[in-house]
Amino acid sequence: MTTIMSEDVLTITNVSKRFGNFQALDDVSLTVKSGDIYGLLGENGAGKTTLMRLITGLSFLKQGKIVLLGEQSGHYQQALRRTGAIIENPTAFPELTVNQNLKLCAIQHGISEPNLLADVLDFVGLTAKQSTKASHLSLGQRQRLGLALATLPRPDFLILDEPINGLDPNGIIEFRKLIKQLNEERHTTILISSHILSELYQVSNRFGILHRGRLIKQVTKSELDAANQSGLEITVDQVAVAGQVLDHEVAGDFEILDEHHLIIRHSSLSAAKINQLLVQGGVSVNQIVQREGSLEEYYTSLVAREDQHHV
Amino acid sequence: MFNQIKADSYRQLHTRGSYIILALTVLLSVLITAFESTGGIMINADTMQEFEGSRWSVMTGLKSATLSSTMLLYIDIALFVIVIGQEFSKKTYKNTLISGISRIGFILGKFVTMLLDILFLTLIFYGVVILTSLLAGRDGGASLMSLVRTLGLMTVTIGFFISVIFSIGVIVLVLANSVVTATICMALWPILIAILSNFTSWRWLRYINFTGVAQQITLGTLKIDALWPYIGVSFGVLILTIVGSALIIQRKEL
Repeated sequence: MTTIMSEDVLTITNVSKRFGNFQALDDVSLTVKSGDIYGLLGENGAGKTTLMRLITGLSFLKQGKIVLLGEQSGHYQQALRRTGAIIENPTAFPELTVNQNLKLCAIQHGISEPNLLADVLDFVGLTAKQSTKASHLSLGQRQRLGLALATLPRPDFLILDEPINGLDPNGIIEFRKLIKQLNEERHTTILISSHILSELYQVSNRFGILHRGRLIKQVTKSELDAANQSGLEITVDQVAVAGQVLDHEVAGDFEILDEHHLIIRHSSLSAAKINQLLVQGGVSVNQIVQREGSLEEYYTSLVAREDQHHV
Repeated sequence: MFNQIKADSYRQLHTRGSYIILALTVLLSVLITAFESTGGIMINADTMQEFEGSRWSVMTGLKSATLSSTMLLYIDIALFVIVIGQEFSKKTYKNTLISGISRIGFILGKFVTMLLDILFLTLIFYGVVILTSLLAGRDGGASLMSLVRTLGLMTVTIGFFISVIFSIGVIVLVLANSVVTATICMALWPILIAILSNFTSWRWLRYINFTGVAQQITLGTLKIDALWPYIGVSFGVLILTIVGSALIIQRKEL
């Protein structure tokens, strides 16, 4: 795997796409940085898939500019070799087994590492199904096979279009873990779209919101949480002292809300540890509450504002 | 492109359909030779009678197999479906194209795979003719050298011209995104040319009667020296369809 040292993995500049009278994308510009899990949100028909198809060259780019891993769309030399993707539905040859489909993919990419297939099968949890024909797999297993095919060449950048569609709750949890693992252990930058906002919130660190073909907002998770006032809300007797303790212990990003309340947005410490630190610092802690930010609320209000603006 | 060809070969080796095609080719070859039967599009009754009435040798078997080679085209169409048709019907081309292969590399890779397959199957087709003839105790009908030369010439000629029809199938597939339309087009090509030739006086039709060239050589109505215009037209069609398919696929919504 090539480690990407440059900041931007994907830069999309003023991209538009029209199908007949339908404006699928309208002057979209966004950037995915190395290490991101970039969540692309939007209603059906917002342009998420169209954008992903343009990035991978499955759709012809007429207007705008796309730079993927340092190469411009239409002139990709190595960029696609360093990219894995599942666009729309995962596809595989139905009459071939899981293992044969992976072997085929390895040949296509010129990969001959002996243990790679077994590693990938293990990673996506399909070892037990390696001799099963792709046509006999369940929807969740097909999604896993799609992920295995997309990650087999150890890509630097992974594009996943609605990967959790049709998965049962267990499948969604497993898939979420896999995506996190890919990002944290293999340092794979990921662009993922979904209309299940709660899931996207859990995996992504940056978000782009598409609405009617336009990118109406790019926001980081911290900014989103700040806008939603989400985090660990602590009620104390002396907020100034509590602030000093948290500052000193590098407990994370926090904000003093009023004379008895403060909110920690991101912390590597558990609520119990924070409580212990504050008590040891002479602060009386009355309450610690985890306040969840809702991407859904944020998205809904943003879209409503956008619609109102256009009316 | 080479990786693509290797991947397609691997897939064919693990596809049951490939072995069915091979079995059908062998069966056709055995039936033609064992039952001394001749038949094909644009082969008239006189020619068939001439072959069926004569004493069969290995050489007669080879010639008769050539006259029946349109049947081989229909078997080979299944190969087209496996190698490229399925990529479009199952949309697996998305995986292939995202792997970083260029559009021209994709189309050329598919074409080369099909050409190699057709040459292999045609060689098997003629090989089985020789084997069946020998098992039936027939004499050679010509020197060993002449038999080998005929085998080589017919394999290359039939393989090449069937591949030209396949290249037309590829561009139709890419344009229409329909395996059915592409296969119908390939299946109807020799029939349509035959019908048009019968009802019109368009002499240029003979240059695009791709399945008829080997038959004309067999019947002695076309000398090897006069083959060049046919080869030229076929190469022209190949270049147009391969480059055209690559350009279309580049601009197409896949």
